[in-house]
Amino acid sequence: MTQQIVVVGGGTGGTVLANKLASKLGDEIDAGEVTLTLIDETDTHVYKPVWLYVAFGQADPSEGVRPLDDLLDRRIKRRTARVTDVDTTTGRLTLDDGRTHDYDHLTLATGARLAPGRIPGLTEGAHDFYSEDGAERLRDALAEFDGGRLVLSVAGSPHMCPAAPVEFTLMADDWLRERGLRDASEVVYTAPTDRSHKLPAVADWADERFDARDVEAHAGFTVERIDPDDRTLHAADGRALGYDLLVTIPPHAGVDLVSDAGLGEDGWIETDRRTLEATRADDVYAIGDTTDLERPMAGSVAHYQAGVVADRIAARIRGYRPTATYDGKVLCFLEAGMDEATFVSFDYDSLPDLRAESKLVHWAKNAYNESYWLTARGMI
Amino acid sequence: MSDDADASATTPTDELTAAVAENPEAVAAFVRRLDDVNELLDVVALATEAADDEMVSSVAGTVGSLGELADEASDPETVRGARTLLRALGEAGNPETTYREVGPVGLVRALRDPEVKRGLAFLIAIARGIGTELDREADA
Repeated sequence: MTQQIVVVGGGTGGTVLANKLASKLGDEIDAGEVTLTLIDETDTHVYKPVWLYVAFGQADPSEGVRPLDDLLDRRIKRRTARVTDVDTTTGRLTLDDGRTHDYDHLTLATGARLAPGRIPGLTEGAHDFYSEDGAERLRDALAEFDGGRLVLSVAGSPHMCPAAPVEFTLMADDWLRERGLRDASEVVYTAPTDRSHKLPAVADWADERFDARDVEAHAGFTVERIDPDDRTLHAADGRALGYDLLVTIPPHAGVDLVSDAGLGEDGWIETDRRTLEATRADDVYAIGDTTDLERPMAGSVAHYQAGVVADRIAARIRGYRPTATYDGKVLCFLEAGMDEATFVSFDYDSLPDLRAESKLVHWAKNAYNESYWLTARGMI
Repeated sequence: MSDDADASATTPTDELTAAVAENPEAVAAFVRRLDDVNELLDVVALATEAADDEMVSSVAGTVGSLGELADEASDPETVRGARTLLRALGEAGNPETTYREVGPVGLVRALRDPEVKRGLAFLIAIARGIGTELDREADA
């Protein structure tokens, strides 16, 4: 009987997984023994890291968007729909158009969504670079900014791209200097964590640079509300910071499907940290931002996890016991300004140790941004 | 005897000291460039830490496939055929030419043109070659 593999989500995790499965199981798919379907709400794939560069006028949003059909192996069937329910007992998905889709092996790569409404005043008072519209509005606001108090505030945790708040702050500092506006500006950073970043090595690295570059940093700052009329950011502990231009990392949430299907609490799928199996259902995997794993919400995590799940599903299809496991690997670049970067790499058994930033690593990041589509195709 | 043997043995430190003494300019130049060297090593470390077995195999496999394609494409007879096709494409793609629709009458007229007849012979040879290759692959 034909085995049905379904991947829900056409972001980095879902696209890489589908392409790796198509590569591994090409013969079985061609023989009609396996079908491989990717379901996504849209027909496009978005490379979100582009938005940080859009904000500084260095990229156009179109550079981060490709049709899914251009990236997916020809053996993958694609459906554009939103999955509204997962019946893990019968192995059946319900879609928003009323139709259903059965599965034998399901992987949820449904990601995270922004939830700005959780903080009063955030939508009205703050910019962000976590959406295409947000990045374009921020680009325009930064272009108009001719000095004043620029505040970057992490208003939600966890959030996609854990390096981005520090990156934006250091890039903004550099950018203002290049435009001769740094002396007329204050650059301020807030984070809800005890230090400037959850990872000690990154916090050490960031604090050293914040001190050297006169960035005003506030740790333990949990944003409670924003007063857009007064241009004030209020913390739960009573602290208040004024701003002229406020950029936030908005609160994030999981997709409704997760709670509705009983796969996890608070919208994140309860997932085995090694096998990436959903713990509350059989034949269901979860990868990327949608899991409850203590991993950064980073593209590299989804990428490495996709490799493991592809191996495991292929083993199951071929009738032998899966042995591939995820070791917690993460690799993220960290821009230190406009022309230098470093990177952070760690797994479940190691903590990162940051190297000094360099132009070469910054160029490596640029080069990767250009060649990301090879990753999406499952090639690198 | 053993004391003489110990005295003549050199340690890595001795070798390093000797190398510095023999090449002071080169060593000094290298030390001045240590920052550049470390930056290069950081990029190597980045690649090493980012990659895994599957990525390396995938990239090597793609390079291999492209290499095989290039090997086929570089066969002298293939090059000659490709050159003929490409030049013909160049002539057909002349921006000053306007292409009107060809109906049955126009087609018959074109088939009387000696150049068209010769081009058709070339296209038929390609079709025969494709058929031969497909048969060969099916039998393999």
